[in-house]
Amino acid sequence: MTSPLPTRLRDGDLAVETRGLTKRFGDQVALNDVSLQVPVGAVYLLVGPNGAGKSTTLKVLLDLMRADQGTAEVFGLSTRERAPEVRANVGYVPERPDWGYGWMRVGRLLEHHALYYPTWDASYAEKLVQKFELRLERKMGVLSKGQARRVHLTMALAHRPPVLLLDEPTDGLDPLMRDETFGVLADHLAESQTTVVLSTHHVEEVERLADHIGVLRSGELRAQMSRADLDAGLRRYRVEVPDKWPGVASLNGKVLRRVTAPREVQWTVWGPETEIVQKLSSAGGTVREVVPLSLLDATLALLNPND
Amino acid sequence: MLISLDPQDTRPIYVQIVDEVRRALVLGTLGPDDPLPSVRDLAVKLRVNPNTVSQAYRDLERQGMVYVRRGQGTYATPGQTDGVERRTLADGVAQRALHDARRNGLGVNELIDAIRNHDNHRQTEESL
Amino acid sequence: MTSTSLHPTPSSQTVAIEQFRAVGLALRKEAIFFIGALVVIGVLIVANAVHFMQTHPYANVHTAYSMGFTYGVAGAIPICFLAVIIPFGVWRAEDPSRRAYHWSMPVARGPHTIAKFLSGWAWVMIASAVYLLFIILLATVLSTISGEANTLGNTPAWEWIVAFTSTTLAYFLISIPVIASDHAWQWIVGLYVGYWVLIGFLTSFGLPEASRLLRTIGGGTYGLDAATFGGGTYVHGLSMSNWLIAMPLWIIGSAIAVTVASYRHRE
Repeated sequence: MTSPLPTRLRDGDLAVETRGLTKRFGDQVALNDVSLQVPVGAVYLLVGPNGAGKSTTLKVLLDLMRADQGTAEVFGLSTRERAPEVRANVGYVPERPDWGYGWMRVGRLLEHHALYYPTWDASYAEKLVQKFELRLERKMGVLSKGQARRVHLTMALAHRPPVLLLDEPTDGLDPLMRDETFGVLADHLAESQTTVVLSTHHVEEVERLADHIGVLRSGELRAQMSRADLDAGLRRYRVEVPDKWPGVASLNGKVLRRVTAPREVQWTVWGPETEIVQKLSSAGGTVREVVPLSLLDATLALLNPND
Repeated sequence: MLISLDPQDTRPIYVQIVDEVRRALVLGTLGPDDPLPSVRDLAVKLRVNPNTVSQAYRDLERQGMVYVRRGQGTYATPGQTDGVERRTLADGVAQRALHDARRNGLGVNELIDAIRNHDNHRQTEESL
Repeated sequence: MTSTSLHPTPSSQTVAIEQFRAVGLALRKEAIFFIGALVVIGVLIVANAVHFMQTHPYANVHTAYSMGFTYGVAGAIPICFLAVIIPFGVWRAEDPSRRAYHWSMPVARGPHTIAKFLSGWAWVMIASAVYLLFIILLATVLSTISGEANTLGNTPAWEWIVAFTSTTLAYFLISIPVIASDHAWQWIVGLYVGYWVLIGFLTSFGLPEASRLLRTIGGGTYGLDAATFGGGTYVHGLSMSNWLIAMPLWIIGSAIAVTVASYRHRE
């Protein structure tokens, strides 16, 4: 049964694009025919359960991993053939906290990183050090997960790369620092046009920043669309129904979630609102309420349709 | 002028920002020719994508609630405390109330009666 | 931002210099241990010599302190031990599963690994030079204490050069498993043990010729011993001509293996 959810964006300038990316680890499929499309300037939220393939996708973009099939490009540059040039234009925050030379002090690591990225903005780096309250004299290896995260964020942002790949950027951060991070990101986006691909479990936190979403599950891209399309296309309908209501056959496949009670149902449905209301009504239901979903609820429905 | 977003509101962010500005204009907390925060400042304050703030400001400009002075910023158009924007606000409130009523299975007249009733009680309490 | 304003990669010069500095930092512990050991050993030897001179006014100092008076290829053995542990310091806390940071830099992975490898080698050469200076200094001091001339000048030039080539070869060889694998120690110990076990097997299974052939890798005319110490520590006996052939062959061979390991794409 083909999914009604869109998996391809309308054409436009893409900062990051993968075509048919497939990656296997032994007999486990990490990515299966993933075709990601991230428009220039987008803040693209990549969601999915653990092991869905989010980190693997980001690693393929950096040529830290190589796909078995398919291609990946950043600004038209092949991630495999022109990896150094791609990496010069990417700021990466990895999922793992133990990244960067453990024996090096934070300050020295920033200095090291700065030399590799000629566009490093020293005054911006200093501002980030203050905002993230980094202690420059501590060794990387003794930092907590959250402290290391903040160093990685500084390393990724300070050279103002055109693309940011952030894998769980707020992992390990306390709520104050998480909030601070999004403020820093908003400021960063306002200052320089940046394309962001962000993978996080805290979907509610990026509700205000993300304008595109890609849903990965078991290595497959189940849905990919702009927030505008998501907001327009996904609704929760609360419907009063008569006893032994047969449902609406024509909506099968479009209903992502059903909650059923005697004489009342709550359906999360993908599709144009007026059309769906009409179908529900003509099937004998009384539509009591139609609400758009929060990004978190939408994500849950897209990730785990219980239909 | 204070702009804050309700986390429970599921409407698009730019719509919420436009409504917040409209509210400030009608209430007068954003006075005639007062400057709005820059796109960047507002984006940082609200932790919102700057493009979304730009979209809201463009919408506000299109609707005539604000105007742009090249190189200087966005400012509130004078004369917003009554008329069109006030009615728009009222329309929004009514829409939300009716939506809530329908959700609870109440009719329009039931709602209007309840509102009048409630207001009478409130006036009585205030005069005591 | 259009593609014409893409950010550049760093220059090779910047990368080379920064790798040299960073690797130097990484080797700080080893450096401190090395200098400390030299100081301690030097002080002990000199103090002992002074004491000896005071308590044995007519004894033959020359025999007691031959190290201070003559130098041979065997003198390179201590510094070779250092060269063997340096690759682990160069790639400290970066067994390939953690090497992702190094690999994520905007430099092609093969050349970048080679840059770090060569930086480590530069430091090995510096250490070897320091070591030789220490030897010469120690010999001079001992001569002054004892009044006997040192005979360092009798050592042929090539035996001094061995201090640099043996450490180079040791560093190159050990770098191969360190760069190529997550479990360098296992590979090194495994190969060493396996080598001897195989030799033993071949001998006891009545294949002495095969066993002897295998042993030439280590002790043969152009074996590892000839390449590092000119055969001075092992079976054959010191020979400059063997060394002149074996040393470059082994060094080039290991350099090729290092390059292959560096360019191999690992995840």
